[in-house]
Amino acid sequence: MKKPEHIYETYIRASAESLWEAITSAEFTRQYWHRMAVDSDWQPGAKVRFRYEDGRVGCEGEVLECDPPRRLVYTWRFLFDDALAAERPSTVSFEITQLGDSCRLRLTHGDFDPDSKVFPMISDGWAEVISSLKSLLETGRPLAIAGNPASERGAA
Amino acid sequence: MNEVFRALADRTRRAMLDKLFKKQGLTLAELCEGRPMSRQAVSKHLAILEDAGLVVAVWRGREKRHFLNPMPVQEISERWIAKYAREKLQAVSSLKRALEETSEKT
Repeated sequence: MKKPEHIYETYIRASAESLWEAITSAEFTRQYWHRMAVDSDWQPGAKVRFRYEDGRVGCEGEVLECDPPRRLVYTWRFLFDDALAAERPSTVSFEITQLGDSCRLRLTHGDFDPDSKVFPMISDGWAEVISSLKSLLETGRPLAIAGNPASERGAA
Repeated sequence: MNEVFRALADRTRRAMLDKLFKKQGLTLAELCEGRPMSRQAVSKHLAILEDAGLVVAVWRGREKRHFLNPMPVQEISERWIAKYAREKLQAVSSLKRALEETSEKT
């Protein structure tokens, strides 16, 4: 039986190292990732937490693989809704391939149960987050979408 | 971006993307189902979609599965839609609909 999964792939004009930093450091994630600050020491088995500004943890997981600046895999669980939090954690993996002065970023979010409620709701969310990450690295500014600090107008 | 527009400028390829939107991870055989077209023809369309980045193919065990990659369309939407006012576009599209409905009646 196939398990549902989503794949996102984009090219970002940046070095693999800076892309790695952008997905693993709070200073970056709070700029493009719905204002959430990521927190982990990135050792296999370590917790990964995404915190809102008020300290609440929106998502959490556990590091499965960490091979900087190429491959990062962690489990994923939404905490802001009881029904979603009750689901078995899914798996998010980032694969970074340097190609000249750009990187290919492939994000796979999979290992969902067939009746997962999280699976159908994440699609647009990831596309926005990745797009905003690309914009931040290439232009120094995240996208004007809801939830990003530089985009209060977009949140209206 | 040219490749994306070129890939999208074909009804069969758009239908294939719609099929992947409904169910991600289809194999070539599954994509051929219900399509009065040779396997080679479907495979050729898939290659164009892959070159444009609209479809990403990955191996899962012995099967090659195809996934709709939303990123190119997301980028188009930012480049062409977010930039111009969405409300204006909605007004234009409802005007278009209203005009088309009127012309269908006449």
